[in-house]
Amino acid sequence: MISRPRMAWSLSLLLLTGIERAAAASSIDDLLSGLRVRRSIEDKNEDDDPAKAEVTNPHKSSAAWSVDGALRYEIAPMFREGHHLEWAVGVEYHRITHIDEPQNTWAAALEATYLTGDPASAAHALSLAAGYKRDQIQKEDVLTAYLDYVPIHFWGIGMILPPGLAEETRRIGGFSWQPLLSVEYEQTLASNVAGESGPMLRARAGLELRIYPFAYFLSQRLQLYAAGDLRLVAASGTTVSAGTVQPLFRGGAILYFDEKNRVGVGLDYLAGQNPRDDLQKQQVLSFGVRVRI
Amino acid sequence: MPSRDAIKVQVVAKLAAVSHIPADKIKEKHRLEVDLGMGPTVRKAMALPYNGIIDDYPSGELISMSAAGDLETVKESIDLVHARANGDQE
Repeated sequence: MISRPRMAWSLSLLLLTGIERAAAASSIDDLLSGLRVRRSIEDKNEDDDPAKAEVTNPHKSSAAWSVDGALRYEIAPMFREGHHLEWAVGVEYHRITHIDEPQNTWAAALEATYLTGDPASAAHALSLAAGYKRDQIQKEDVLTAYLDYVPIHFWGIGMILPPGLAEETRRIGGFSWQPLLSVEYEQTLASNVAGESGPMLRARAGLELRIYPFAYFLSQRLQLYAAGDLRLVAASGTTVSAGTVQPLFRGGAILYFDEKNRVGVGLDYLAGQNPRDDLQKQQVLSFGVRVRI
Repeated sequence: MPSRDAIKVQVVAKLAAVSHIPADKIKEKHRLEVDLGMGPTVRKAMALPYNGIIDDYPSGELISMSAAGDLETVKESIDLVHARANGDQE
């Protein structure tokens, strides 16, 4: 247990150490090593979701877009006596045209993630992302602040089964699951929709489950996943009243072509709404190439 | 400048503590997810114990959560921690 003055001292040193180490990053390779391609800048899923993009531009009709991706740049991490802090900046773009409620949003954010504890017993990740997003359909400008808490603990079957039996079980398949808690604040500065300007505070609880069939033979390249988010509007200055529940379910399968799980194909089903990405309430089924770098 | 063998002992001890598999049963060829049963979030959190090792060396370069999460095998983990402890970005 670290006392409060000791903690403050540790965090100050963390910042100084990080600045010093970032300044030491000299080559282009050093700088590029922090670049990531993902589905979103700050999604805290169990496994970072891959990006997907497809644009079809027919000669006589309007272009069809399906882009769900983000560029994230991670700045040199900082560490001191069991406390890990890292920064990231990123931009993301979500545009899907041929669905019931089209989506066209871009966002930029600065994120700080604090990690502490011990993964052998229990670790805790707390992320604060502050940024700006633009909904091109409703012409909304929004300031955002998201606080995510991810408890981290090893829940593997190795804890409950003897080593030999655990290994045999992993040959058939593996699974992992991850809970998540968030507080989301958004301040809509301007909107084309009457009454949509104003603040909104939401609480979010999420749970994600991943299953890896034949994990031993496929090296977990085949992933089945199901994730649920439940958001509760705690306070609102917009037309969405406090107490509104906003559920979101995602499920699907991804088959990666390589052992590093960089490139693959995915089938995704989504039902509900994702206010972080300005995805309105609907059901979407999509299939296509997935990229994760 | 720490040797690879010195780093290997420390990395395997950390992996053994997390995966509940005895250190002497852990081989370099073992895959973190498939053989040790470590999920993506736990692998990212390994940045904590790995940076605890690296921080003992003045020229060490720290590991981010993403870099730790990208590690697939015990060998990759040892190689990365060894390189970073010696000041290489790799």
